[in-house]
Amino acid sequence: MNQSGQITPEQEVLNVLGGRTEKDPFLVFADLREKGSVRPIPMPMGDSDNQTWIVTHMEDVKKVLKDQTNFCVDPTTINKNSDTKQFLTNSSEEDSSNLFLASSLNALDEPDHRRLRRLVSKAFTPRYMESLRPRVQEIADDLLDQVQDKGEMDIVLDYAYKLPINVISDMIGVPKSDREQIYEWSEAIANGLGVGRIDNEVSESLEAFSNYFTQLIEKKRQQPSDDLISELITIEEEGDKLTEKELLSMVQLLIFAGHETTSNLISTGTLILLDHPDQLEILKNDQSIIPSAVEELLRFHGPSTTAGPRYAKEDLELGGQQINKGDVLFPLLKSANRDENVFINSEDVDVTRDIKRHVAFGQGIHMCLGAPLARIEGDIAFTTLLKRMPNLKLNIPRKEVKWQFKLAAQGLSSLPVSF
Amino acid sequence: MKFAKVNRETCIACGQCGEEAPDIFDYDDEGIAYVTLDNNNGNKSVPDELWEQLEDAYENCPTESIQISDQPFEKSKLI
Ligand code: HEM
Ligand code: SF4
Repeated sequence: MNQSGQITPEQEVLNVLGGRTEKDPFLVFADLREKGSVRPIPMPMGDSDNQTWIVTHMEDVKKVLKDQTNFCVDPTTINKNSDTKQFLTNSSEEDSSNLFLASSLNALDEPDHRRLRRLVSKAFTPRYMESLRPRVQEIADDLLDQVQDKGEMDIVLDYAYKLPINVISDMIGVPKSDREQIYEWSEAIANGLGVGRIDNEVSESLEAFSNYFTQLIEKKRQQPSDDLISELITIEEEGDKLTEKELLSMVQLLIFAGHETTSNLISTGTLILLDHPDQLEILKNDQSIIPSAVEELLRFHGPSTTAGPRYAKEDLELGGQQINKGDVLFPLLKSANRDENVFINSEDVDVTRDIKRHVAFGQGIHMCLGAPLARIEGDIAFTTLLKRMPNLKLNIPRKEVKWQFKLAAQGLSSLPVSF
Repeated sequence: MKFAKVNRETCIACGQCGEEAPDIFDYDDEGIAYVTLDNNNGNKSVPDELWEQLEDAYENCPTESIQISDQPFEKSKLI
C-alpha cells in the first residue's frame, strides 16, 4: 500500500501474475509503462538480496530476451548454489516428476540449450509443421461437425481446447483413447501452477503425467511409428542423441507449451472478435487476411503474459535502472505488445494492421519452437469457424464471461456461443 | 545493391523469416534457414522489389541471424 492506501501498479502486477486480481491487466501494464520501462516489484525470489524487476517497454523486453551475454534463464549459470530455481518451481532436483519444468529447453542456457534445440528442431521443422495443415483442418472440421446441428456450443470446451490437444497428440503419437486422460492431467497441472506457486494437488498429476510418457516412450522404442516421439528417439547429430530424461522432459514440454497457449489464442481471439463486431465483419468479408489478423490477436492479447524469468549475469543499466548481477527480470510480453512507442493506437485491436513485430512468441534463442504450428492452428481455427458459423454470437451476458489463470496465463474457462 | 545470408550457426529454425520473406528464405531438411537466391552464399543481389520483405525478415529474426550487406559476401560459403 502507498500513502493514499492504494495498491501501486508494481504491487498490482504481482497479483496479475499470480492470478489474484479482477482488475484489467492491461490497465495495470499501461500504468507501469507510463512510470517507466523497468520497474522494481516487491517479489522476493529466493536469493534474497536480489531485486525483482518487471520490464514493460518493447525495446527493453527485446533486449533482455536477445542478449545472452548479459541475461540467462538458469540462475545456477550465475551462482551454482542459487535456490531461486527451487523457489520458482517449488521442486527439488530429486523429484523427477517436477523435473521437466526446471530442466527442459526453456530453462537451459547456452551451450546446453543450443544442443537440445538443434536436436529437437530437426524433428520440428517449419516445413514439417506446414505439412500438418490438412490434418489440422480435419480435426477442426470434426469438432465443428459434432456441434453444427445444435446451433450452440462452448467455444472453449468444444473447440479451443480440443483442437490443439488433438493436434499435438497426433503429432507426438498419443493414442486417441488416452487423450482424455492427458487432457485431464495437463489441465490439473496448468491450473495449479503460477509464477512462484505450485499447488499441492499438482504433484500427483505431474507424477501420473510423467509415468504415462515414460511408458509411451518405451513402447515407441519397441515399436517405432510415424510420429514425433519415434522421430526424436532416432534423431542424432554427430553422434549426439537426446538422453532418456531429455526426451521425457521434451515430450512433456511440447504437450504443455503447445496446448494451453494455442487454446487461449483461439478462445480469447474469438471473444475479442465478438467484442468488436466491426473487426469480425471485416474478417467474414475477407478471409484471406485471417493469418495477419491472427498476428494482431497475438499482439493485442497473446496467450503468454510474461516470458520466463531472466537473470542478470552482470551489473548493468537497463531502462535507466541499475540492475545488479543476479537480479530477476520478468519481460512482460503483453505490455511490450501494447507499447505506444511501437504501435499506433496500441490499445485498439485492428485486424487490418500490418504487423508481425510483436513478441507474443518471445524473442531470442528461446523464441517459441511451435510458432509456425500455432500460426497454422490459429489460421485454420478462425477460418473454419467463420466459414461454418458466420452468425456467431455470444450466448450469455458479456459480464458473465469469466477469466481464469493458469501457468501465469490468462484464459477463458467457458465461452458459450450460438450460431 | 543488397546481399543477404543466414548465419546458420545461430539460426534456431523458428520459421519467422520464411513468413516475412517467402521469396528469399527457405529451410533445409533440418529446418535451418538459408537464402534461396544462391544457396546462402550471399553473392547474388536481392532484387529491389524484395528489399522490403528482406528488411522485415531482418528486423524480425529473433536471433539476428540474418546478415545484410551492400557487398557480396564473396569469401564465405555455407557457414
Ligand atoms: C499461440 C500459441 C503459443 C504461444 C503464444 C507461445 C508462446 C511462447 C513463448 C512466449 C515462449 C518463450 C518463453 C520464454 O522465452 O521464456 C515459448 C517457448 C516455447 N514454445 Fe511456445 N507458444 C505457443 C505455442 C506453442 C506450440 C504449439 C508449441 C509446440 C508444439 C510450443 C512449444 C514451445 C517450446 C518447446 C518453447 C521453448 C523454446 C526454447 O526455450 O527454446 N509453443 N512459447
Ligand atoms: S528468422 Fe532467424 S532464427 Fe528464425 S529461421 Fe529465419 S534465420 Fe533462423
